[in-house]
Amino acid sequence: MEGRPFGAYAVYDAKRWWWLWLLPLTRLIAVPLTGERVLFALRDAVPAVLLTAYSLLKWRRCRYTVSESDSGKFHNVSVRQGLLVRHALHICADDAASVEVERTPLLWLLRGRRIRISTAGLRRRADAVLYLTASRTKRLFALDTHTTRRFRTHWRHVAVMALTGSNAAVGLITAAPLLRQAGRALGEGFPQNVTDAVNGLLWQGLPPLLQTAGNLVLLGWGVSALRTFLRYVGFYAQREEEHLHLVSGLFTRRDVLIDCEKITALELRQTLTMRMLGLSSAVITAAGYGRDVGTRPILVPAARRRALADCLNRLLPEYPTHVPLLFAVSRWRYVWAPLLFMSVGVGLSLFGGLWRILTAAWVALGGWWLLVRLLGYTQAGFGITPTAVALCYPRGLSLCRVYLPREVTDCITLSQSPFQRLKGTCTVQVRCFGEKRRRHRVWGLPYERVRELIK
Amino acid sequence: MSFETDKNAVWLLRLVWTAAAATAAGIGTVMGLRVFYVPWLWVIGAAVWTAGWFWYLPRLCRRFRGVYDGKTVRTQSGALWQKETIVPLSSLRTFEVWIPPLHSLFGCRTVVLRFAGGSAWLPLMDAQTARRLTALLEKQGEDN
Repeated sequence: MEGRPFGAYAVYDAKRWWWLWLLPLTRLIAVPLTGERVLFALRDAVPAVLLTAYSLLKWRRCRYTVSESDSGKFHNVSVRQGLLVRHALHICADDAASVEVERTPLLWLLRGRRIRISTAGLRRRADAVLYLTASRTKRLFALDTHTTRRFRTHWRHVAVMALTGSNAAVGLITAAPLLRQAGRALGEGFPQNVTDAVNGLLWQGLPPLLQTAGNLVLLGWGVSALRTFLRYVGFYAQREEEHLHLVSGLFTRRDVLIDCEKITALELRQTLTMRMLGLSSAVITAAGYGRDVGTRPILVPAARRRALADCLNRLLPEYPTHVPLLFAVSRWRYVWAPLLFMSVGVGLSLFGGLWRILTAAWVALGGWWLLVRLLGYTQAGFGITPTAVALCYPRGLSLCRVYLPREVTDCITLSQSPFQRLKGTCTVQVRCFGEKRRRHRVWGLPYERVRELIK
Repeated sequence: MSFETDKNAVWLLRLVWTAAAATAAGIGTVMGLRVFYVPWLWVIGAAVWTAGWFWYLPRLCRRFRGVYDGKTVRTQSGALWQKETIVPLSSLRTFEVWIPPLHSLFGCRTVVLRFAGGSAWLPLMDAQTARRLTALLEKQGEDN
């Protein structure tokens, strides 16, 4: 039976135009309120009203049909939507590589759910986005199933992952709209003594410009860490027949169902801090999952080695992870980049003044990177078995260990620079089918032994 | 089946190399860029061009070779930075044969193997060899 999507469709579609309401509302809340301001506000509200009406009309014209199997589970879905350009979409349950059910606070109030269905393809976002009632969603996707093969993550481990894996730039991008609005709303009224207190506590003795930069970086990192923590606290994963069911989130709860056969890579990741604490994250690459902004297909946010091994045995017992590695032999290839970075920083100190202060931060960052690279070298390696390919290498400021089934490994390249030819080493690059990262590279491996391995 | 670059490929590359050098020199001179009026830069430029013409380009052509054994395509390429590429046939999604105008002139073909994670290029092959290789790939794909 054909139906219209849940009303939240209109709300979330119209949410895109929220920024158009700022100007008219700002005019209305300004003091003093005059007739002229009201007229200007009405004029400025016209685009917002038109676009909001467009979203409402889109919702009214959208139709979907969700059919159920004999057991009452999701069988297929047909969606017809669009106002100016109409398009129809049909997806079968067998083709759905991943299904993500999202419950935001607003949807919780409205008793609805947003479902993103993705197939294994090359689109930049989910193939279909549905809005259904909570009860129907629970029935269609069997979200209340409880199995013995379940793994829970402690909130402390999630906090460590959030704090160590967060990116200040991402946090600033996230917080930028809020910062802009806060800046406008608070204006000059923001208590000066608050900023003075923070500067005094953290950035004593630094010039104001660096204090501001430091505050921005700290704010960005804090926002990113908080966002990650709220996204993954309460995380658990369980195996349900041929699917993985991942649940996470505090305010916005996400249930993700991933077809195990569509998993194309398993990556074990550690930042330096996580390594000191003996924790690792497990991230999967699954065809059709991880496209939307903010999604990280995390299987285990953070766990100790034994718990992680136990978790993988329970959730993905058939996934090949026992691959002996051939280890890297050339340390120089790993350390030259951070050493060069640090020496540039030292060179900058010759300019004096502000550069001397920057040098300290520059060299500290370079030193951190060098540590990561040195640790990465000690465990860097490459291995092949009849069923899997494994690579271990440092990437950015993290240490990664990747397991790929043989069937998704598309191309292996061995490259040698003139120096590597002299030393008898090479770089191995593996390209594979996947949503996000499709290239993995290990440097400084012994050339002849790698050739023997690949034969 | 083994394959390598066509014997005329080096002349194609030399033609492109000379044209690029002449274009850069001509544009720079016409635009009156000061750097192009420094005599020793012309000497360096000529040395680079000569090294490319007599050493780099022939070595690049000699280094490219490959083997197709029914299960994988293996190639070796590169003059200074040498590369070996292994593409299993099971990952091959499609292949293309490129014939730009200069290739036609010199009787060369470039075969591009496309897989889900990217592509591998087999440049400047002899036309007959390229035809044989693509026929074998097509036959293997149909058998699978």
